[in-house]
Amino acid sequence: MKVRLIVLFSFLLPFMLSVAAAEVKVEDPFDPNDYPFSEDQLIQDKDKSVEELLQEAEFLFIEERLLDGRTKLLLALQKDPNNYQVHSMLAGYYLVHVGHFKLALRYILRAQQLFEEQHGPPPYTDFLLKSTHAHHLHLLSQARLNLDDYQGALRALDEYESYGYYQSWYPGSRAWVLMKNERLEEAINVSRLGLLAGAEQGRTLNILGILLSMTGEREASLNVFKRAIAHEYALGTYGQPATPLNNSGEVYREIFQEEAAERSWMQATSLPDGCEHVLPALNLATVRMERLDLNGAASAIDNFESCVAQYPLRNGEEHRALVHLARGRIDVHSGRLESGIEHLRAALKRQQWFGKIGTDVEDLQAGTLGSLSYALIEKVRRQSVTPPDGSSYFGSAGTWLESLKLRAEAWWLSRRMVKLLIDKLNNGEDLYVRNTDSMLEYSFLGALLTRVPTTTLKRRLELEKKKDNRGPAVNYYEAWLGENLLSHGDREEGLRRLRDVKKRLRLPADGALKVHALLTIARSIDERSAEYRDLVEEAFFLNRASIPNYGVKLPVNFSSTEKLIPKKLVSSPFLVETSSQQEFLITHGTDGNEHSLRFSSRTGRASAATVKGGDFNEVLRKLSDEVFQTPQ
Amino acid sequence: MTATAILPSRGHSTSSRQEEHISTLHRFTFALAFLFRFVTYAVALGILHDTFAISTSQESLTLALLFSQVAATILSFSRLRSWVPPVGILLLFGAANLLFRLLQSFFTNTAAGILEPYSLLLDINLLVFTAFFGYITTWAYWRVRFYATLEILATLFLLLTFFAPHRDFQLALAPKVVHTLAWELNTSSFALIIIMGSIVTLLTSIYLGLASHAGLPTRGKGHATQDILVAGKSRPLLGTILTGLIVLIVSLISRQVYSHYQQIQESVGANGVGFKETEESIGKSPLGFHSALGSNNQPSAVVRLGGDYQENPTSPMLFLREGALSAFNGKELVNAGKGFDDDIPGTSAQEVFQTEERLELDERVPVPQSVYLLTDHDVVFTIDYPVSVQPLENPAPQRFRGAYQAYSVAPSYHLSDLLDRTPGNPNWTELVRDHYLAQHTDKRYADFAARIVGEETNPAARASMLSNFLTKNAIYTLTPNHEVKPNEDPVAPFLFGDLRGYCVHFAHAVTYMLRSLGIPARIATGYLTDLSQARDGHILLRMSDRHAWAEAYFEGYGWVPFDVQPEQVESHADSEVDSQLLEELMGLIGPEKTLIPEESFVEEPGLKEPPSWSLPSTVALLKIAFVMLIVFYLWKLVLWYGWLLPGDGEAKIKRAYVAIYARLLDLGYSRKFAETVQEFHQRVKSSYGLNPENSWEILRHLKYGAVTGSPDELQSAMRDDFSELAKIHLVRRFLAFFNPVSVFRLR
Repeated sequence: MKVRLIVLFSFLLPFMLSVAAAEVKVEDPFDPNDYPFSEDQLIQDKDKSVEELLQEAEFLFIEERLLDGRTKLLLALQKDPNNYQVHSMLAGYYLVHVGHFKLALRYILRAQQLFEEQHGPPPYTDFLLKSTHAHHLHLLSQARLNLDDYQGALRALDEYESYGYYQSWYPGSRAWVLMKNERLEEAINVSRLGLLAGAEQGRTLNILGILLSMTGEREASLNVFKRAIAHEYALGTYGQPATPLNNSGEVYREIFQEEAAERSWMQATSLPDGCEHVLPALNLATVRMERLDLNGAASAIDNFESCVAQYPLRNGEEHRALVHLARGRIDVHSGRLESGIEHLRAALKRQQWFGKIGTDVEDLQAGTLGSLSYALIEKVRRQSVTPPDGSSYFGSAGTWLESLKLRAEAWWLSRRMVKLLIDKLNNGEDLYVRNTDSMLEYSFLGALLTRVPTTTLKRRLELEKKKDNRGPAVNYYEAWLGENLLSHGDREEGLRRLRDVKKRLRLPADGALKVHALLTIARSIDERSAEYRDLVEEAFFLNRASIPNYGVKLPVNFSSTEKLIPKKLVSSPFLVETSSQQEFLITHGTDGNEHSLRFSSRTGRASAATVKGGDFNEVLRKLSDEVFQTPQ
Repeated sequence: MTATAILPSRGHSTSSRQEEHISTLHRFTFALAFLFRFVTYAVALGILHDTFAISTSQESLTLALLFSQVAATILSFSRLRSWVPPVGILLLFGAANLLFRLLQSFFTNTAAGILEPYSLLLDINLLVFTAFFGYITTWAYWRVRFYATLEILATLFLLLTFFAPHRDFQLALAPKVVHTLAWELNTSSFALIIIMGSIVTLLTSIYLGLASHAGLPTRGKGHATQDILVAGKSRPLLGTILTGLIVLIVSLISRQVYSHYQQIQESVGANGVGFKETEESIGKSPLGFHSALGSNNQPSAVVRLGGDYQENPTSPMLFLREGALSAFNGKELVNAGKGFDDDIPGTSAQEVFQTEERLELDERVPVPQSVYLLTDHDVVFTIDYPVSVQPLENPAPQRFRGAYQAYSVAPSYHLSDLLDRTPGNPNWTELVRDHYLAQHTDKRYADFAARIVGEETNPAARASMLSNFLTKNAIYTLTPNHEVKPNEDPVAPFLFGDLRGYCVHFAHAVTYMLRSLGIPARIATGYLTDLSQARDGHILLRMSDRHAWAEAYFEGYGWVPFDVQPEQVESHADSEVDSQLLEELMGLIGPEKTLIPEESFVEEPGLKEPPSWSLPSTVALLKIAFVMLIVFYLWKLVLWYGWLLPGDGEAKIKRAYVAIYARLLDLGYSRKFAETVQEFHQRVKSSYGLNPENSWEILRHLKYGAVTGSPDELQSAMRDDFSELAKIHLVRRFLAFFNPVSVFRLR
């Protein structure tokens, strides 16, 4: 996934510097007893001039008293509704501090309108007028960009350039907008020329690195990011190295250097400017999920949320969808299907603006649809190996109906995902594994692509293989095709490909794909075979929650004094083996009316678990939950 | 001279006329039934399209539906074999898929060349499925007797399944159709669901009427095509009256249902915290103990902070107080009379409230706030205690129920500072002190409190220990369902029982225990919100934010909340704020609407808003009804007096015939089923002594070019008809003018 942070600070820095230079008419700003917004002072505010109110608002913004500042501006606006400076400042406030882009756009459009009414149409000769006009165009382009109006943003920048305006932020911003308009080559040229012309180093290098990675020049991209990181660190407390660190991590992940990627993101999230941004945390969680470090993934999101909690007035909308997505995936892989599905449904509902990041709304939707669809399939599978809760026919019919509903929903969601991938995402550009913009979970994508006819998928993947020289990527293509063949009846060929892939996968980096391959094979072969036992045991040690999630059963030896008890394990995630010695053993005991079940490993590689209770099925359910829940 | 004298007599071809008449009426029913089904299916398709985000265009799916329904309708009455079309559709489906599989290797070897045909195939499959479904259901509707019943049952079942998640007033839960639509229409979700239920009932009745109408074309085995439009009596007047009657009954029942459930909803719909009333409510409590409604995301109000409140001691949580309960009535805490809890305005949003600043309170900051009400509130709520509250001009009356501005003097101390403070106010009279220390008669509260605080002596620490104890040990549930008799203490089963409850139980328990320790306490009601969900100082309050909490009084700091937020949650009311909605409301509140003319930027893509819907106002509905009434009676005038308008002889004769027949209809003389015109006239003549048949005779002869009289003679003959009608009493003729039946029966 390509996650690109536009440097928010680029708005703040010129704004704050200009504000800092302004004359402030406050007698003693450090007077602890002076509340700039007492009722008395509010009354006084009504007698103040618009200019005084503007200056005080500027001061309050610096002081981080944003609402006080906003109130002053609104008062100024009431006094003089035709003052373009007030509109312009409010536009900046809503753009930077609030993230209410529609309002920001309305204010800046109005500011521009008033400005032209007062000073006539451009071009201007006066320096102050020129710089104000340039500032308006900058705000206009940023507001449009944030509202995903990429062409409008470019029009504003074109106008900016047409009057000969130039500031150091311009090449970086223009390159970004060009990238959003899918004019990559032009964007690269703009940023390269900008660097030569003395453009803002950090921002321009960052966008250049992104552009190079998008055009496949990954080594060059990494080098550019290294320069950007060094530059940001050199700025000391003003620097924002988290942004290039995050982006370089994405390139590392794309070229399957997961350790380097994780290092970059850990570094980014440990920095003040990185911990509050969702993207490094989300990337960190994703790479950890891919290697099945689910607790590590959860802690990445926990840390992010703790960091954001330091800003009590900040609205969480900007990251809510992404956090839900990450939490949903973690919960599903950890065996907490209900809460996982709930999170994924929430992710699908939340709106996310993508002007500031490289990903599009369709990427998020496709990723969420895929994860949710597979989570529903896993829920059905899990139900099939869950000990029954009572024996009523109505209960069984209800479970059957629910599984039917879940299957239908999963089918529909995966269909939607496939349609999105084709219709909205450039005919499946996300099939390129770890495509920078993609939010798909690649490990089980094959299961969602089984609906695509084999020849079509094969031909499409052949195209990817031709242009993809990344070794580990081929395993993914092969696994998807193998699964597709398997589901379309070519069992031998499908299993052959999956078995080949299974041998080649790297651990722990490809852990999620490995588990998927192991259990997909296991679902297609004889449960009593030695291969089945080996596959399931290996999967168990990689991620125990996946065993019931895939509807497979863990081979165990069973010891009980009661003959009928083993039959009760038929509807459970355990497969009782009597012919050979297994790694795992379940021992059943009774004490009066109480049953006890003990799960243990002969080699001691898995921790033992004991549960007790009156009802055997209840005890069995508890044991399943305990054995197959990812330890936290 | 009568018309019979001037016109040659002819035999009546009554049977063909009668058939034409019946056929016409039945065709109308037939068309109505078809149209009704198509519109219903198309609307359902539209809902499915949006709900399931179907990427295939809605227009093409609707066309497929229309095509299949038309085809099925035509073929149902033809001699063609009915199984041919569905089999044809299935063959089309098979052929498209087979063709794709055969050709897929030959498509261009590019990403688009490979995948686009597959995407197209998915679209085609969906269209074919829609057509197949449309055909089968329509064919069954015309040909299978019991199918209409099945269709109604299936529709009702689907509707019930769809709305089932909303039971127990859970109107904000998915599917949020009701909730979203209610917001769009600016009405309450609860009212809308009743309206929707009524509409469904009415539509079902209409559908039943159409499906079971005697004139509905049905064709059993052995019937010829021309037999389709036969049988049955058409009674439009009766139908209209019955429809009106059904509308009336449904409306009355809906109103009763609404009133009944509205009361229940008010009591449980807000976490058990009802709304305080402005009128004298001494001795009453707005709190409910039995069960509450969580996850009610219904927007309640928007609060706009006029300044930063960084000193908030409970940040990020913010308490907004609306009422207080401090009088103990032996069973629960209720509203006290005047002289108590006078820090709370208790005024409505339309009233001005002004009070002196409480100088005895330390460490306070002014927090101005504006509140925009989205639901009805009898009294205002504010942050801590307000110095003044005054009404604001409602910026969007179509959305907000009222608005006011308040200046609160809010606390800025740290909670740890409480440790140095003593409980109570030395300025209180003994009466007031005793009021806030009035203990529960059940000594178990004191014992319980004593056990929790143990050796601790500091009052603030003790108060904190009580709320912390419940935070750690209580279980939050909205359905504690304790068995409590009307005169029993509803808190005891909670505190001395399973510790399952919600804010109402926690607040009571903490208050009783605080008082038992000698700390003046009361319950505050209002809202508790999380400021981290605010935006630009705008807080969207929902019904799920309704809250009750315990407060203790400390010298110099006033009433301090000691809230319980249990760690163990069985069911909870938390839900995220709808950020888009908040943004929309911010746009309504801000000065932007008036200061920045919207029409200036209509072309700006980023500012384009989706179209919104609204329910027409009562006045608008009355206006429409009035206009329709005018049009109706204008048409009636044309029917009755059109023959006086200028025109050639033939046209005038026709209009005269229509006028006579319209008046007869309105007077209550209508043709019976299978009755010829001649028979009708004879019946009118013999039974009522009226003989207005000249116009009809002239018209009949005119048809065959056999009219021989002069225009004056014809005019005179027609006037005779009207003279015949003049025999009827004037009052009856006057009333007949208001009878609508002729407008419905005559074309």
